[in-house]
Amino acid sequence: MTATGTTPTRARGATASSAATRGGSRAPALMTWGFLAPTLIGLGLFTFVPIVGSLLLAFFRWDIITAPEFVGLANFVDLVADPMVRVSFLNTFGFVIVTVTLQLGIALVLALGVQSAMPTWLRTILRSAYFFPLILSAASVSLVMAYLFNGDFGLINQVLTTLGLPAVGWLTSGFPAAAVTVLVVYVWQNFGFTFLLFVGGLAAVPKEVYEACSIDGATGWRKFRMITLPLLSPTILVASVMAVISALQIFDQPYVLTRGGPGDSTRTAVMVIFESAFQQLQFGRASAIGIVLTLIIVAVTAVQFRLSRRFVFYG
Amino acid sequence: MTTATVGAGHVPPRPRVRTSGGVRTVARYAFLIGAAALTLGPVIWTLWTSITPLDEATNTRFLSVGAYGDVFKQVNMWLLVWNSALVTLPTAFGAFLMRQYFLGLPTELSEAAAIDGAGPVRTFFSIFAPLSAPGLAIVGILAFNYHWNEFFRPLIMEISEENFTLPLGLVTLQGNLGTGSVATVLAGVVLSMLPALAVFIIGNRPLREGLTAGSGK
Repeated sequence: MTATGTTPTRARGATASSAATRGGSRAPALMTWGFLAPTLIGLGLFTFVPIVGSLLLAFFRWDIITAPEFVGLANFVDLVADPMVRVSFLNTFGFVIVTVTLQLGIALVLALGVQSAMPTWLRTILRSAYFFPLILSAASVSLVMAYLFNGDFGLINQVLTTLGLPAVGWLTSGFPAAAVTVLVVYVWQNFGFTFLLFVGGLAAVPKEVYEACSIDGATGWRKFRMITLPLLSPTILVASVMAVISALQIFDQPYVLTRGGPGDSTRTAVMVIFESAFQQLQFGRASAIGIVLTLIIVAVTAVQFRLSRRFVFYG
Repeated sequence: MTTATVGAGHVPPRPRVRTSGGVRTVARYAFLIGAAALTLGPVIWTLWTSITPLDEATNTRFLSVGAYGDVFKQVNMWLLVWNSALVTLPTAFGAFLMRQYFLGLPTELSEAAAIDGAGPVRTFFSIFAPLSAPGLAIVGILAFNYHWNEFFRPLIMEISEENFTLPLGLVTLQGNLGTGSVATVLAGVVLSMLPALAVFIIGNRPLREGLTAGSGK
């Protein structure tokens, strides 16, 4: 190991005069793999191996106790026929569309607002406030929100009744109340990340462009439409891809808030995977749902990048 | 170029925007501060409710930090913290972020080091590792926050309560059907938040600058 390790180093030292042409981009192979090894081994053991295992498992029926039994595509066929799976996927899609729209919209409005002229201390406070929910765990947030949205003693219903409005069973009455609650909790916690990305994206827009624009007489909406939006579009793409991927995998909030209920109204795709595997011990079925969800995530992301060719403007 | 120089010396358009914005500025501030209040509201409510438990005999609230002690009585807080600290897995995201960071460092540095006779290992540890400290800080802060707050994977893997991490412990604290004391659960939420808050306060600057730099590309 030492022999192979030192040889490239020596060779490099000897040809120091030509080092300028080689640059630092061509590191010795051993070095490259040495740096990659910890991550690759970790990812391999904890990510790639389970992925392959899950791919195989999808074609078996397995309850952990007895030996796996090969069933071909039966797990996938069952999924299509299962109304609960269909509802959970529809819930997830609806959820993604609404949360991503809200998250991007709120974050964009607030990022533009914070960017406008104001004292630095106020800007710091506002930015920290919007960012704050991100440091909490989804479980903590859901616990707190479960109390705030509680139908009997929750603060929100207390405010509603004080205002003379009827109390709402936020977590206990069916569609859409519980779904809306989960949605609000999710957006409340996650818009801060999109906000940060947008603040970064707006900071990268050169001031000269705005100056030139206001000389040409453009203000308000027109300035936003013609300058801000195109220059921010790469950031919007990144933000929307990340938001869609994480929203498609929502689990923590509905799990803690409603356990998927009432009925199946807040059951999401990942919840069905979890319940199939760890409550009903149907690991093959869970793997099949997981594969379908993964394919959907890959497809949606690909579509987003494809669409972005038309809308995203790179400098 | 010319527009920039003209822009610098050309003042009139600015006041025109400002004058129409008197009421607008107030509305804008009200909106932004209102949004901040809505964002921080639940956090402040959590803090307040955790120190004002309900006296069920008289149905009144009183000031007390007893709930914080109750958290330690009801769950083994130190064990939960220890377990949470142990949860860590390599992520591709960290590698991606660091690659972005290294791409921003000039290659001339490694050439200069090679001329001075430094091998690749020395070059890395004496030049690139110190220079990448802000990038490492970002990856570190995000990784800490992610794993500290992780719920799904520990939920799957930790079968016995002895191995629970903080988020799982908190949900247990709530009890079945929400029978746990509200103040105690909220005190647990506040306590579990403190380490993450400390990390973010310390890492505020590299994080903000790093994310700003990264998203510009």
